[in-house]
Amino acid sequence: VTSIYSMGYMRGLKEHSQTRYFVFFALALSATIGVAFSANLLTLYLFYEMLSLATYPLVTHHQDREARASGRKYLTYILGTSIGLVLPAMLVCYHLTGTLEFANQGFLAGACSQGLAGVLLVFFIFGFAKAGIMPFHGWLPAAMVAPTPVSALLHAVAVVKVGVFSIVRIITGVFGTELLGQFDLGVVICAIASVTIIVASLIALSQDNLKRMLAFSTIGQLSYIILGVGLLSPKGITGGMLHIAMHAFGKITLFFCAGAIFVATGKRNISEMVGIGRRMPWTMGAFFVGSLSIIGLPPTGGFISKWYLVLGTLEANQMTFLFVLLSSSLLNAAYFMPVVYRAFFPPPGTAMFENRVQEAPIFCVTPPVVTAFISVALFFYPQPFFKLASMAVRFIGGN
Amino acid sequence: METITSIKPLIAVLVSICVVPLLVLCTKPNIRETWTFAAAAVKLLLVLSMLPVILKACCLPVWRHPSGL
Repeated sequence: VTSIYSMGYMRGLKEHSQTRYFVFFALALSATIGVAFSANLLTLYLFYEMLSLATYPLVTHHQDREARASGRKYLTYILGTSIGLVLPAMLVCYHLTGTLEFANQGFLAGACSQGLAGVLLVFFIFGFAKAGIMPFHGWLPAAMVAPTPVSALLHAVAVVKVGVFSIVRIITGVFGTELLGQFDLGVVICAIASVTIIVASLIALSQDNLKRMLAFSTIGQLSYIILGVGLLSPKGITGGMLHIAMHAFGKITLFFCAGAIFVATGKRNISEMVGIGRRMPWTMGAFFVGSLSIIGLPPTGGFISKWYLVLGTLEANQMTFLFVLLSSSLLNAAYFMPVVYRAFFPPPGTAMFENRVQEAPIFCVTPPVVTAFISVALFFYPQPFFKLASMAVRFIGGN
Repeated sequence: METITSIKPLIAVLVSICVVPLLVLCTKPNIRETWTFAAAAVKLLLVLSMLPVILKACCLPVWRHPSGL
């Protein structure tokens, strides 16, 4: 779907260097799948770095001063943390155990003290900066200078999900839930994630640039996944893993819509989109569905994952984190709903668009409609992802 | 969980890399984008083809490098 959208977007805006764009896009997808299929920490790390390097030309695609500055920031954060934190932590793990192969109860079990485990965990969590954990989140809003299909697939789905997926693999395959529970380190993970969830949601409230608002929303939503897995309870881990997929479909819809709006109208700021629902009803309809999924409301897949996250906090008896999840959902509604409301119901005399339907090219409109439809379908039929998450939880539990 | 040896995970990773020379050599945008879409479709189908095995038989398809990696 993103390939189709890329064609529509790049042609619609007559972008330069389209071959380079499609080459690095393909390489980035290979690296992403490589991370997903990695059976040990070394392979995961190598593909993680390959993804960082493959996405740099995409972030700096426009080749202007802003793009180059964002590219430098991107590489500094992503490579700096992975080389400075993950690599040494990985070497220590190998020194302690002689292996980097993921195990269902973690290969570090019984091999390190509580203090060392805490230090290694912090190194890994902050080291995988693609997960956008604060204070190493600055690259994500900066990387929004990239063409929108890049923001959509790579910075709402692939790159950022590689970050959280890596952390999930660290929690489950390197440390193991038993070891983390024994050393009370699950609470540390949840606390770090909670700070990011609340602060990112508050910052998103104040953004006028639509893509920047979506970027801060992404930072918060990624930490939902880490929070869910950090709860170390079966329902929490299930919710966290489900949220990888549910958030992906919701957020890619929103980014596709932001790009379609830009292609059709040249507008980037929310304040310039009053009454845009009259001109682009399909795009803004898809935007509404994507917003519901991110807030966690039915009938969208986001509701299913958030439901399990909430159940996970109850199962782990962690009421503080239940409060974090619920208040964050309210904040999500507070920054998404005004955009949709003003788009369809502008106050009299304030509409900035004529009452005439004029959408972006069909290659830009169809993808968000398709992904919005999938978001709704996942509410009624979440089984494929749910079964995968449940199987993973059973595997982690040793069954 | 059982593991079964399969080449599919490796092909799923390589398919986008293999299409890179074709993208570079293409002079016509339509052909270049056809290759892009073809690679995306093959990758998607490969991943989807592994799902039934995993969901029904609880097997994990793996490909191992001869060195053991």
